[in-house]
Amino acid sequence: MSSGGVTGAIRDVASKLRQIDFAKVWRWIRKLPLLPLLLLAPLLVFGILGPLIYPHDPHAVNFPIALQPPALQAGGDWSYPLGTDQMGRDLLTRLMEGARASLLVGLFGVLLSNIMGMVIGLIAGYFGGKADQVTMRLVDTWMAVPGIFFTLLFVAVMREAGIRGLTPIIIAIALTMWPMATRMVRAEVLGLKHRDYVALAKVTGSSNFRILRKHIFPNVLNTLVVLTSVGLGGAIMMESGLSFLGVGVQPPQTAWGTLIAGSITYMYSAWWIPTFAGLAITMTILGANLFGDWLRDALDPRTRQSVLR
Amino acid sequence: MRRYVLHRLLLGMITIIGVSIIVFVAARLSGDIARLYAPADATEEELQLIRERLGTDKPIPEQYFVFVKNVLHGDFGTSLSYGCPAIEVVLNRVPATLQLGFLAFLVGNLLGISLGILAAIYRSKWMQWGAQSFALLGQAVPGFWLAVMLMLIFAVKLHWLPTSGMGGIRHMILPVISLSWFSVAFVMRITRSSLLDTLDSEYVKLARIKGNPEWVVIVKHALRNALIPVVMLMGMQLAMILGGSAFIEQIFRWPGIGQLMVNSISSLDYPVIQAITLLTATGLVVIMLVVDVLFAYIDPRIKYE
Repeated sequence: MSSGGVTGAIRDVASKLRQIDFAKVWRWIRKLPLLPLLLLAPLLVFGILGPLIYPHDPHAVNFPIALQPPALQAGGDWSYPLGTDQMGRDLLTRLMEGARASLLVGLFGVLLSNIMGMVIGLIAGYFGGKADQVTMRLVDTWMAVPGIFFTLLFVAVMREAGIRGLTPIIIAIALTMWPMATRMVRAEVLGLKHRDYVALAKVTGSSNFRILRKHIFPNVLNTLVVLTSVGLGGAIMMESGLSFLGVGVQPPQTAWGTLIAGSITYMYSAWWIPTFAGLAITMTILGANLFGDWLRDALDPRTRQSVLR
Repeated sequence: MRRYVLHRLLLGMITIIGVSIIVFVAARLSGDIARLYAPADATEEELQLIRERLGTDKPIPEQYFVFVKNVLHGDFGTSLSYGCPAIEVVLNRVPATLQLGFLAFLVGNLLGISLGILAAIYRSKWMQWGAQSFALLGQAVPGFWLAVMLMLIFAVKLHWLPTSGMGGIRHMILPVISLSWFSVAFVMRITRSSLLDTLDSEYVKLARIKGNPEWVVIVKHALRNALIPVVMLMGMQLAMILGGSAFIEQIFRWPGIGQLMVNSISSLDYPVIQAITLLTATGLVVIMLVVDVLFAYIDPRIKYE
């Protein structure tokens, strides 16, 4: 904002835009994998834009058109392309609202779990000894219980302690998933800490914190990026499972899992509710997993050539 | 060897103690348990009496030791929703879960291993494509959605199978398919990649050069080694099946511990929750221990120390 005012700001932005090499951007975009991004597109678009593009009010009850079938089936019409639910609410709009819950919980859940996992994994791997042993026993403890049992317990406890909204789900997912990140980061750090550049940094008197930050962390970053994508799928699977069991996202807010659970009662008359809600979950998880696979190959220096051409 | 077994036994015990601490602390963190036992209009004195009876007025570490002492005597407390000992409530539900879980485990491994072998041997384009897609779908399709869709198609629309409840073998088909779904894809993936690696090894080449028929090479030489990772991950598979039972039993109204866990969570029946979590953890730790020790006997390449 050098020349001041709104016009100045616009001129600044315009000159910045002119500097961008669009051919380069285009080349970068062309390297992105098409299928995973297409599968993830609904989650991202509906999750981010949300209420701006809802065709109907997701909570407006309209009993005269309850359980109206999708547009392509007899009795349906195009103003409700995927049909309506038992209270006459538009299924498409509710799926869009569900994308928002899944995106929020999935993204924050996996980020929190990766931060936890990374910090614990870095400490355990780098310092070894007692810290490492305690961490590995803790990871074993987590592995000994079916994940969903812990998640259910954590959510219930946090709800009981008065934490409302999506926060308990996000924290419970992070608390359940961190061992995966910890194990991978720790394994990587074990390989890195005996490298020459770490030894040299020690000789020059770098503190442990500096070595971790400057020499170890950049090298586990790739792993963390891949873990975030794959973990996003896992976190969304957990969120939809919790919502399905009635402990996740709470009504009136819509989640894909609650849509499926609620549809069981109306299964004889409305096949479209569980079908489309489940397809939304499957598409999203598939997209996140495939994107994770692509990232792993793209970020791995050994296979980079083959993937990025 | 004996040191290895003792070492593993010790680690297993530490793990179970860890689970007990987490479950115990989680239950205590949620607030005043006395309120769950008391009627809604209980006075402060009545609550204090209940606290004293439950022992929740004492410091947390002391409470934990009392908890452990009771658990070792098989006493997890009284179930809030059933009014009888929590351990009885849980043990009553175990057979139903074992029935379903064992079948799912069997199907998951038999089908998964067979599909994995097929995918590793027949390397046609279509076969590879099919195996890849199945592996991907296995990870992406949630078991609970599969269960609902199977119920919708085969029970509600086609009337081939009952929708829910316990009964004959017909009642078990849909639950077992949905419960083993993830396992089948998981085992197939591991078997395939492991068998592909083994088929490339020197000893398999030697077995071929010796003029063995192809099926002898695969079954006798390659498969035996290729299945090691599958068996190693059986504990994890069991944990996944147990976790899945929370959903599948709920959907098909199957009275096992998965359904009990979900119901106990919504009614905050902590004694039952603690009993389920500790029992399943102990069971899984013991099974993993047995698998590890058996392996140490069978496979001389595994180091004991």
